[in-house]
Amino acid sequence: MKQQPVESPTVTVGKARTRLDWAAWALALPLVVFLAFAFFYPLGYTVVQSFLKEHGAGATLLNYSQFLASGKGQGVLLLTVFLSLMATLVSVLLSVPLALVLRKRFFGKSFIQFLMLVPALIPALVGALGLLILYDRTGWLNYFLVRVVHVAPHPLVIDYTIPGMILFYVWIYFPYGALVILSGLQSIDPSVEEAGVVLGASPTRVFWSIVFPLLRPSLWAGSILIFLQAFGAFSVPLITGGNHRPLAVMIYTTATVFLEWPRASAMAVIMGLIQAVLVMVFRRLQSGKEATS
Amino acid sequence: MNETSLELQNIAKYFGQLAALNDVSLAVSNGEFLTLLGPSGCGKTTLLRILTGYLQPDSGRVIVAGKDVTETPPHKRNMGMVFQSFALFPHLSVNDNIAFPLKIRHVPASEQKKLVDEALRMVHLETHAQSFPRQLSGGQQQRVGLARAIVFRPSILLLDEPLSNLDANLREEMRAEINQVTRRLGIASVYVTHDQQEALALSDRIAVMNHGKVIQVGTPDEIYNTPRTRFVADFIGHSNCFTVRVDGGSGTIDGVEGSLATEGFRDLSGPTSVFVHPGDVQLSSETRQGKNGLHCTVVDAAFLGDRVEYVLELVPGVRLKVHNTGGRGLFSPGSRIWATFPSDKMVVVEND
Amino acid sequence: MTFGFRMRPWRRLLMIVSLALFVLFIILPFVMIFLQAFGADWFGMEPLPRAWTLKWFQWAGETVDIVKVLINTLIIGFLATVIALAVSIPAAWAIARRRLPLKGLLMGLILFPRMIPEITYALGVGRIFYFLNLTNTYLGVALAHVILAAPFAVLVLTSTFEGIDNRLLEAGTVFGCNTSQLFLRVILPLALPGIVAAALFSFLSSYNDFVLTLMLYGPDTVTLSVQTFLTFGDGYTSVASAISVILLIPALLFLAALLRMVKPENLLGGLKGA
Repeated sequence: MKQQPVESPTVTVGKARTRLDWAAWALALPLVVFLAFAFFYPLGYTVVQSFLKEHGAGATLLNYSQFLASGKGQGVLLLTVFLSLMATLVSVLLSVPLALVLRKRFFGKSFIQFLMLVPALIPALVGALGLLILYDRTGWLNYFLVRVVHVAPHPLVIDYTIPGMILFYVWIYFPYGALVILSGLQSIDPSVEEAGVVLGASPTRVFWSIVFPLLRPSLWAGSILIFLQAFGAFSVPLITGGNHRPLAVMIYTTATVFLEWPRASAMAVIMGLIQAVLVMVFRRLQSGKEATS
Repeated sequence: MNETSLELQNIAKYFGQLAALNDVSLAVSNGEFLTLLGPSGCGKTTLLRILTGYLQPDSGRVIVAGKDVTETPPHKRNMGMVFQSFALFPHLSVNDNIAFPLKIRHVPASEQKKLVDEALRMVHLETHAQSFPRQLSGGQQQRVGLARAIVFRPSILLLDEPLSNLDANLREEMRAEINQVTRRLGIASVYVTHDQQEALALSDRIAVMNHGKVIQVGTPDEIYNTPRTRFVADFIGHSNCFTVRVDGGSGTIDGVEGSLATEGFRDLSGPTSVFVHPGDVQLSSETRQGKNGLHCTVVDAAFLGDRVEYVLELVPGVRLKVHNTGGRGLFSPGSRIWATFPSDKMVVVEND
Repeated sequence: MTFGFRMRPWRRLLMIVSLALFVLFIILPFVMIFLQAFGADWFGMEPLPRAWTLKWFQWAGETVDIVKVLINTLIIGFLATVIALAVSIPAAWAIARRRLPLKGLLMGLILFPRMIPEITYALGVGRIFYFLNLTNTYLGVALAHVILAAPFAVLVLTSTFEGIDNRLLEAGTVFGCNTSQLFLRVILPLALPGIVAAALFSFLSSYNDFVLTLMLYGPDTVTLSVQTFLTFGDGYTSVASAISVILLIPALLFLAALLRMVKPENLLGGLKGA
């Protein structure tokens, strides 16, 4: 419930009835100062670093150009985007049926809803550890496939592969989208579906012709959320990526293993820019969609 | 012409222990307009949903045009439905909303256009064909809902409190619209409402429901003038319902001078409810014909030009409204008068 | 209201099977961690370890001083919470109840850290804090965690403060409260649920964090998540699992508490373990 900000006598600083309360900035000051020194300053430092030469003094654009032009750099970007896209796609394919099921009332429903959130509520690192063990060559999945149901002659290699990483990403990041999709689904007026059915549409038809179009904005929003999380993934690929290093890991190893701070800084700036642009585009699209829907 | 379009046989539906519907049987003929009238929770909406197939009854059968459709899924039942909340598809234009059932049925495009245009004309919304639901007022949306429900010429039209979400001033207009459209198309219609005015104005027959049962079925005239039980009388809007003790063909109230006699008392004894129209009671300061009068006090008298509206009190808590049109002067509040109830104008109702 | 007509038996079966698979999908990784943490002699393709043991926990206690690590994590979490609340409460008040000029700009600045990946600024934070001698200190790590915690705390607190009825404040004034009394006796109690939520939430952000901590830790300020990583990196998967167990149990308990207070959608907006 939003209330109008009020200027009651005891909580206004300053006697004059100014329209804008500049003095209120004093309250926000600690946070602003904190962010300035702990966040914006380091960010600025990184940006500056990105223009420095690796060896010797002076400014350069090499850190950027070398990364963006090189096969290695482009490969990393491609890998990161590919992983994020695939993870998003699979996550949405998982989330939609899940959301549909969660509309009904059934035994254990709140447990399922809780489970839907769990991967996002624990450190991704821990989740990655468990996933690594589970899908290992000698892990339970392979045990089941090879020894129990005998559908695979040899164990599947999942850990440290790209499909494996996609699977792990999905496990860890799908809740971000699933929640949005679920709430989007719940906000559809159920009588609209009833109308569809009574007027002759089979349940399948009702889903594709009525529910899906109305769900599209949520699908969009959920997808972007998942994509952004996957794009910035660090601890998961760090321990499960093996030889595949998406952008966040690359930045880290460049800085701390190879100690090439300027290069790492440039990559960090590129990564930050990409993500910030995506977020802004998404926000713009969202408000645009709301205006027409 | 008068074959039965729709029949409900012994429908029962339980939600847990609660019997939402208890042995309900109804029949609707071709072209007939039947209203299910009752307070919220009486089971009328549940019954409607069983008709559409959205809910399955626990026992009983639904027969449409002689065919048992109880097991048929809702999307195969070919009924039209108008919803209380309009339920228009927000992502489709008015035109596409109305065309929806035709598209499902694979009606050829040219035929679709014809039917949709005709439906639009019937509800006077030709100019809004390309608008979207959010751009329309409540009344317009409901008209689209109506158009959508009849465009494919279903054999049965169901209406679930379609006027409840409209402003009061719009309701009469929409009511007339519904009346027009259904009469014109001659579709068998089942209308659900809690508003007795709507029921009386629109229906060929009314089924009054309460607690999952049909209490009385009849024409508006029958329901209004000869309600079978106290509940029906109260619900249909009669306020002049009161209880007398019948003994030997005569009804009396403790503490009230006088007695009443009517045909209906003949085989009864004990507490019985009667009601009488406000316009049928005659007032005088002396008794008339001894047998049919009750002595009461005038609580209020309002002169309204062509008539006087009185509120009389029989005993504390039991009040009657009387409209007197014979310019015989005003009885002032506080005066004691005799109210005479012509025996042919009293209706005996069951206590329920 | 959902479809009331009877679900065909095979459809119901499909739904049950799919849900069961989903439950397994989510739960099994945790089961693995527990098995690995409590199991001895688990080699090859076997469903269960050959024996059960607590030696991995012992190992964690002895070789990496897991108790100290746990204490570190808790202290840092506590510090981060306190600092986050200290800066967020006044800021949120200003945003919620004052005619703050450039409010949009302020909100944008506050939420900005949440818009870019942690690694992008973790680099810089690591370096700057190093120059400031804040690495390997509780304060340093906690301050970094506040970057994560504050934006969300501000969001929660802003809506909490917006929800306080003006008339209650008026009543307080009328009955004689000065500013500090008003704050302590009226505002604080009313805002308490929101403050508690923001606090729990800040703590959880710190507890779950990995990236920033990784850039800032030192031998004295290893947290549970960093220790898990280090141990795993050294090849001791079982010990790493044991540490994960120690990490998970309080975390899941906290979650249960938090979920009672905050709507899940808001929760995910802020909680990132990266």
